[in-house]
Amino acid sequence: MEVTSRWWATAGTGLVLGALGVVAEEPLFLLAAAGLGAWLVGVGAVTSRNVARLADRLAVDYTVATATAFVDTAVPVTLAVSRPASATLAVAVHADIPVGAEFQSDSGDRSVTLASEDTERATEFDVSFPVSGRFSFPQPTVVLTDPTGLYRACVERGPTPTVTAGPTPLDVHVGRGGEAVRSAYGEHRSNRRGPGFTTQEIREYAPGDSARQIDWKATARLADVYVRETDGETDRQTSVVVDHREQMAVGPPEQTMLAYAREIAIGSVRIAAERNDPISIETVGDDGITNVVRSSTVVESYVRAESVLYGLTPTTASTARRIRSTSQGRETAERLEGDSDVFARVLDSYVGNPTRYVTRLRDDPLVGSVQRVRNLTQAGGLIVIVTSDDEPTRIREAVKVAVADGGRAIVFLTPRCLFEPTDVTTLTDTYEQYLEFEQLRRDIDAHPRVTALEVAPETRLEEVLAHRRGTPTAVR
Amino acid sequence: MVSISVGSQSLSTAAVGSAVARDPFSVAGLLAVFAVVQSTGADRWTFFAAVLLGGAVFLPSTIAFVAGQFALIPAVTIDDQVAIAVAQIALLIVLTEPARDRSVPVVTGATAVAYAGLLGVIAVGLRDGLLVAGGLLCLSVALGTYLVHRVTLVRLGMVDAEAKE
Repeated sequence: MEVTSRWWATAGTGLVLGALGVVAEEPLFLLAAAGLGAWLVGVGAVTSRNVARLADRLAVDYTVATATAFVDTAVPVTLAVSRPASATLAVAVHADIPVGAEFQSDSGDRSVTLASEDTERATEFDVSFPVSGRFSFPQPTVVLTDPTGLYRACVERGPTPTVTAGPTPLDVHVGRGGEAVRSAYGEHRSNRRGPGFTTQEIREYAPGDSARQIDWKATARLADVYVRETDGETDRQTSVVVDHREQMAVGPPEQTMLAYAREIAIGSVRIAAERNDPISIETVGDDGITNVVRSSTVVESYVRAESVLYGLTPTTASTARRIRSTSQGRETAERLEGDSDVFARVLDSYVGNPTRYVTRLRDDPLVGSVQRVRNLTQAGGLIVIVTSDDEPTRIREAVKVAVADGGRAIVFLTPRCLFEPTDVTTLTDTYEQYLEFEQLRRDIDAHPRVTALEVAPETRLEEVLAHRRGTPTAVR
Repeated sequence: MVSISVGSQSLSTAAVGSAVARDPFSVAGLLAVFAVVQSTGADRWTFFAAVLLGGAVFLPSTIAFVAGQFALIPAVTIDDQVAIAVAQIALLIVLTEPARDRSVPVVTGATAVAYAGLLGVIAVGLRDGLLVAGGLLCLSVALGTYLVHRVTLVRLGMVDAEAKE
């Protein structure tokens, strides 16, 4: 319980009266001071009891309309307070919001004040979350003030609702020529007989068959020994190569080509996790490979893969690389490592690179990365390439490397023309560029072991196609 | 203990309201003080007391209490014990007017008990002089307020939390 400014004013007056009594040698002033002192203590004693009673009987309801929300989307929050009619203390309840959340000041008041005649009151306001994460609302702060205004008590009462804010979902279109594809990942049967669960056929027993293959029911029914052949089911090893070079930064904030590429890559990781397939991730920056997640089926590996993908930002081409070799740079950086000297720190900012590369590649980093992955992937393994259509020649080269040795590839391409800012007057040009992209996609898709798909904002694609729908040159 | 500024200012002014001594008991108390002053026969202070007590009717209770004391003190001496007792009781009625106004009559009783206790403290202190009596009075009020604060924390179950802080 705290004292208010009115308490201090009263106490100050009492102090002055007491001092007057001492100076003027008049005991009556002390009686006056004692009267004020008694008032302060008497009110305090009663208020203490009333505060404790009301704090127990006060009902504070603090609710958020939803447990999950999107970033930068307003979420209604309700604060309702009720108290017994017999309570004499003034009640003010203030709704605190989590650190990082933003209060929409025009949506309502965050405080509820119960006047002496009020027993219940509620307020509603909106909050938004500028970043993703889990937000726990603190308990509302209740301020109880005694009717004479001498004392005030602050307590925290009520629930602590939690909201999980996630990024606004992208309207991702995956497909061919504007037509959406439901499952790009596909099923994977081995087309070979082997251990599995799905029965392929029942045939007569032949020497060399395992006794465990015998179908005893069929044997009993057909009066001969029969064995059950099942479809062989295997784990499909998948390697995902994600391009996050500077060119992937094209597009509005949070809706760049990289954001869409990330969605696709994360989708691949989640499907692999659901099917318990081993998956590896390599991310490609302007100067080489930035992250590698080794192929594995342990949960931690999938989690790490997602974490790596969420952390991707477009890299920038290193200009320093042109004037010094990688080995020279590494040598200088190693010499500066651990040196806390000011000069060393300044020098390090020029020598070092904000992006840590696992492997620097002299040639095209995408082709180099795919080549590396192909070398590490078993024959027939699937390589998923997520990149943009910026360098058609390099993409074709990368795909050629990916399908070497009987390998299969799925190529997700983000058409730059659908991410660049345009207006209605340039939609025709955008459509022409999209046709060029579609030609590239079809060329790549023509290979029997390659599936090439477009990844783009659905609304944007619809807008471009609708603009030219019905014309002879339309794709659809 | 969390303290917020939002709402507290408005509470002290709007929700709590003003503390003006206007109820019949307060007016009667001020009249009683005036009667005491008149009964002492100090005519030269009667007009002064009338002005102070008349103005006190329109002032907040605390200021009205102080005004009443200033009207009383020049007219009476420490030997007029009955007059002083009557006047102090009357002024206490004035001082506790907000409690009656806001339906907390128990505060009047608590104040009377505290006043009795403080009178005892003054009586003990006066044996060693006014300075000691004044010091003991201040100490007692401070101690009483702190005790109330601690008891409230215990009642609210906030003692452990505060100790950790």
